[in-house]
Amino acid sequence: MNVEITDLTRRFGRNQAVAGVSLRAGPGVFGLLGPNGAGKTSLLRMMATVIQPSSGELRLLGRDPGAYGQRKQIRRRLGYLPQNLGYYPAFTVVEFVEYFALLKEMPPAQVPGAVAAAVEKVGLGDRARAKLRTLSGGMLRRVGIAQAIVNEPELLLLDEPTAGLDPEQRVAFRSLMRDLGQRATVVVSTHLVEDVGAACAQVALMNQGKIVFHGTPQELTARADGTAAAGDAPLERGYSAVLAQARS
Amino acid sequence: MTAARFPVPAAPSRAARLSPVAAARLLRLELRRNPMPWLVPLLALLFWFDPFRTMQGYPPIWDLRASVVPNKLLPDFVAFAGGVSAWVGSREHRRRIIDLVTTAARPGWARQCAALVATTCWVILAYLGFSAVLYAVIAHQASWGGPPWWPVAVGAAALAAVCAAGFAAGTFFPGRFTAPLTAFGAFLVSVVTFQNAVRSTGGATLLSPSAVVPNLDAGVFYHYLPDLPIAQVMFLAGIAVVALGVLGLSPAAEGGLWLRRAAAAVAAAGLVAAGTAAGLAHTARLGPHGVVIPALHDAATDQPIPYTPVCRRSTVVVCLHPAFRAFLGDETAALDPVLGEVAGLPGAPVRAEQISTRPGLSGISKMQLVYGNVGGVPLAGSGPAAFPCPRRNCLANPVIQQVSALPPGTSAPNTVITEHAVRQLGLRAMISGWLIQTAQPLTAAQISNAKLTAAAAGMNVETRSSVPTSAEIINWATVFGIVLALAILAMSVGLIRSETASDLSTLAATGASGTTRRNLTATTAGALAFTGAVLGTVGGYVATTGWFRSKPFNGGLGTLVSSVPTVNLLIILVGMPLVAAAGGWLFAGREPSGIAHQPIE
Repeated sequence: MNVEITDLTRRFGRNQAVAGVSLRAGPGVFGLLGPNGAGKTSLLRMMATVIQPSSGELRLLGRDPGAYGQRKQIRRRLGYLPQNLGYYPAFTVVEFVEYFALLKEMPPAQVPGAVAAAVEKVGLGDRARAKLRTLSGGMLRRVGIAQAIVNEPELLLLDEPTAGLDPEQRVAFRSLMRDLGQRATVVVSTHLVEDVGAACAQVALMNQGKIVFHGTPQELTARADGTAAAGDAPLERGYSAVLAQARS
Repeated sequence: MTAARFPVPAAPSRAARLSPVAAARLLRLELRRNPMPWLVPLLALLFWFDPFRTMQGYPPIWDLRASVVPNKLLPDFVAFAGGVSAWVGSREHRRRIIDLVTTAARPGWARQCAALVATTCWVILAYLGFSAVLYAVIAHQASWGGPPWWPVAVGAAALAAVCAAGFAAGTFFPGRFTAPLTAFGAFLVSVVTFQNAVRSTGGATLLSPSAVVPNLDAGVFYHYLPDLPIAQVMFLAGIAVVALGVLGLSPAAEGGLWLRRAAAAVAAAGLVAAGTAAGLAHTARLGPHGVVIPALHDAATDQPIPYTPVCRRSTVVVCLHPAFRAFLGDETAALDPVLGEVAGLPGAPVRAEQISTRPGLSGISKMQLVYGNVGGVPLAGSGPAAFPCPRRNCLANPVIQQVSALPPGTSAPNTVITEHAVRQLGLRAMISGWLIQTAQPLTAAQISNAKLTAAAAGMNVETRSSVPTSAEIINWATVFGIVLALAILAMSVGLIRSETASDLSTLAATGASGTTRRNLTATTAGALAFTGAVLGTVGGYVATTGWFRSKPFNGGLGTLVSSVPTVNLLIILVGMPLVAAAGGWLFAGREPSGIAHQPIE
């Protein structure tokens, strides 16, 4: 298992963002659904080793991120796309991805090839020399994805990766996620249930810091059977039904 | 999107992680995208306005002209170096990229070092470039000697220290206003340390880069003593290293035990270097040719520099050091009227030659007269040696020269008299003081040296500058202050505007017109300029109050009230904000390029 989480909690002052989450995930694409403020981003930030849990146990890639040496080993094999991508406007696409490739301690000889491949994967080959300040929001999102996958991570954490992408790019990105999920664990936090339905083998639904559903997209869809849950698609109705049940 | 595969080792070796190639690539990226090169044109303008023009006004003597490097060029650079370093140091927080860089395996200290080194490289490169221009001009015009490198080295070390301290300030206190505040603070510190170097002679003061100003005789008659500059470089480099070490000890460095130990060792090494330098400075004493630090002193540097004087025959033969070749005509013309009175008489001077001054005042060389039939006797400041002229051959009625052009200072004499005339008139010679008159204002180090010497002998030193007038100083100071303030303001507004580009984009997206954007930017620029002008004026008055308190013979504190520079104040407090607002309004009209940059949530 690449991700092993047991009773994980995270508090921000009086607010408990993550309240006793337990989760296991192996290679494949794992979807994390939930309404705003459910704790998805906090959970992802803990998995990305940005913040430490308040309590509980977290093991990533078989290692303990609480120990410095093991955390470094995790980070070398980690890709992370935060919800709000910060960037240096004066950097070009290639420079930005190369910067993170170097920060991820990739062997220098492999960096140019890896950067070129990552930029091509996200379809920005023709804008490789463009400065980030000249790119659209969707293009910037793709730059963020490129930096996340440049080191061929074994654990890839994507927070709202398809936000701002046009339909064509979203379809291409789902294909990329499926491809990456062949050998790595890809955890995708999203509001867009159709992304989950199209790309994820497993899905978890969070509400108020807790996992209220864990299963396959088909199982989530089935939860809407016999209910009057709102939604335009079967998966959306399953999502609404689980949430309504959790809140009741 | 297409898929491709390439092998990436799961755990690269330590050698690969610490590869100099990776470090060089990281540094190359930082160098290419550093904001410092954008400020070079502004610095070039300041360079022409301040150090270059000042240097051109000095006689073409290496050490004298090179004094503009620590006195003018360095203070001009300090504000920009501090501001840009703080701006770069705070960028991860400002750009909200902390989460992303935190997940990288390489410690934060490594990327901080890369950004700091890139900024420092650009700052020092620009500084060395401008220094090279100055030295090239001096080399073209100077008639003798070579460039003193120590002032340049001390300046480079000072800039490295400012960059490291500014970067640390930006890292620990990230914010949009950290950079302008750091720039202002750095400028203020440079001014205060310069003032201290002028007023005080303590060990700590000697460590100020302003105290490295060479004496006039240094590099001419005697070697330039590197004792003090070595201690200064050690101190400033120590400060830079301490700041670097503190960065490595911060939580943002994301380091393990090994890295924290290394950072602690680096910080400790910096402290030791700075402390050692401070200790050495406290052992400093004024030697015959400059400040001597016994532990660093090389006795070989005490030997005079051999030279062949340049001479001109007029009423007498006038000989000068070849470094002063350009003054030979003026010196001959000045001596002719005096020596013409006694020319041809027995015992009259037959030769005037320039010699270095007595030990303890190596800053000022002087002219010595050589008499006809016996040896030489100095024209001024000589001891009670027997007059060599046989009585029957001496002048019966010695001429007393009244020199009206001498400065009208409180203790300044206006009479020149030979020792023979003193005897002939029944006067008794005694030394009550020395008049040191220079073509250019004395440097901080020269005044410090004089004070040190005088204090040791229980005497006082009065300094009076007759050129330029206070009105000229005020006017030029106003112009210079405005240019510098506008430069810093332009940097701040430019940087802040680049930060708020997304806000302006949002404004444009909501239908705000170009006029709205212009008005917002103009108001911001005007408000910033006004705040800066008020702060600067208050700071200026505080500094001026202190200066007048210590100089009662210049009018005292009453001068502050009696002569308020109304026009200059109006220019600063009203004109500068207006110029800034107008500039902001003019440059804010362009449509923001990244209207759709932010992802639609």
